[in-house]
Amino acid sequence: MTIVFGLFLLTLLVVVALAIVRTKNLFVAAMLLSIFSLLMASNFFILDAADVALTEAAVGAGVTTVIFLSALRLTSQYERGTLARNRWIAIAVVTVTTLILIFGTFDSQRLGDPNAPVQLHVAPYYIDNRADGSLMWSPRYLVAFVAMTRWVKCLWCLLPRLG
Amino acid sequence: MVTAVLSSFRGYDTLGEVFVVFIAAVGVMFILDARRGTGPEYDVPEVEGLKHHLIPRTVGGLLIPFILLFGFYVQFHGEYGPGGGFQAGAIVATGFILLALLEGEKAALKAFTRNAMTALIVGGSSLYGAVGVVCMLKGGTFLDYSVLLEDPVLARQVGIITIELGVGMAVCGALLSIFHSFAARKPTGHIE
Repeated sequence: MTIVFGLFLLTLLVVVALAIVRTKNLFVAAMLLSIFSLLMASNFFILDAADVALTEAAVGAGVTTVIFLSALRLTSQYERGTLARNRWIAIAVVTVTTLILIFGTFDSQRLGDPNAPVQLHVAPYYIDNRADGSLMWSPRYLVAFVAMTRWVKCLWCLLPRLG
Repeated sequence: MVTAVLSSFRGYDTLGEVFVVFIAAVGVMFILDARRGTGPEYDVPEVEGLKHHLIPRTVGGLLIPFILLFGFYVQFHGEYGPGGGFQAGAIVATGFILLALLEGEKAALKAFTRNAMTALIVGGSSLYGAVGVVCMLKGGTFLDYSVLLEDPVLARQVGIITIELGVGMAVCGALLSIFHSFAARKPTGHIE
């Protein structure tokens, strides 16, 4: 169920991103960027990254939208047409970057993989050292631990197959 | 947990991010405020905000204290739940931006002066750096909080809470001054 919801959010993200690129109306673009941030925040949240989700919602969907709108007040509402001269170079660069990124995902860890570097290096340090009290102990660690072990299913490894 | 990791394990990282925010605010102020003249073009418009819309004004005014309270909750509860300086600074800044939108630019600048914003940016960044320097003076390495007090656990907590306060102050001041740099200019656009 969470995977279906995650796929739904990711699909919406792509749709909104295409709409942002397509629109000439800067006001619409600012609003769509806000929606993009909100979707991104939901996405972070279902990946159990509550901190990142909070940042994305507060900064991405909140403050930047206001700053975009106040900047828009100083300029015109419509984007001027761009010069189509360098279009093929741009398309080539974007395509190559996308392929490199997709290639990179093949090597990335499964979500919640117990052998991922983050689980083997930083996390044990914080778990081991909390007992003697030399580090700050946080009750939220339990939440994080429960959340981590529950997330055996991978969401991100589905992405390359979709593409 | 995340705040603790960000402040201890990745202390240098976060310090760098604070300086990025600092430089961004300085850049925006430099571009938009540098040639601030005294002519009519640079006067803050008199009639502004939503003064003639009673319902948004009342409801928004009621919301502001709660936004600020939530911001401070996120700031001081950062080590237990999601949150920390960055988010708290943004949320507090949102409260004051809402005030500026409702009551107009002048009233907001009276409530939160430009000097106060600059003091927050500079003070927050310096507070973060100063904690690191104090750690060095006490015999530890830069940003090694455990040497701050007798008890290393308490010292870590004090150090992390102090630098998070610095982060919150810097982010809040930077976002507010960026917003006001834009808002203080006379509009030239045509938004239908």
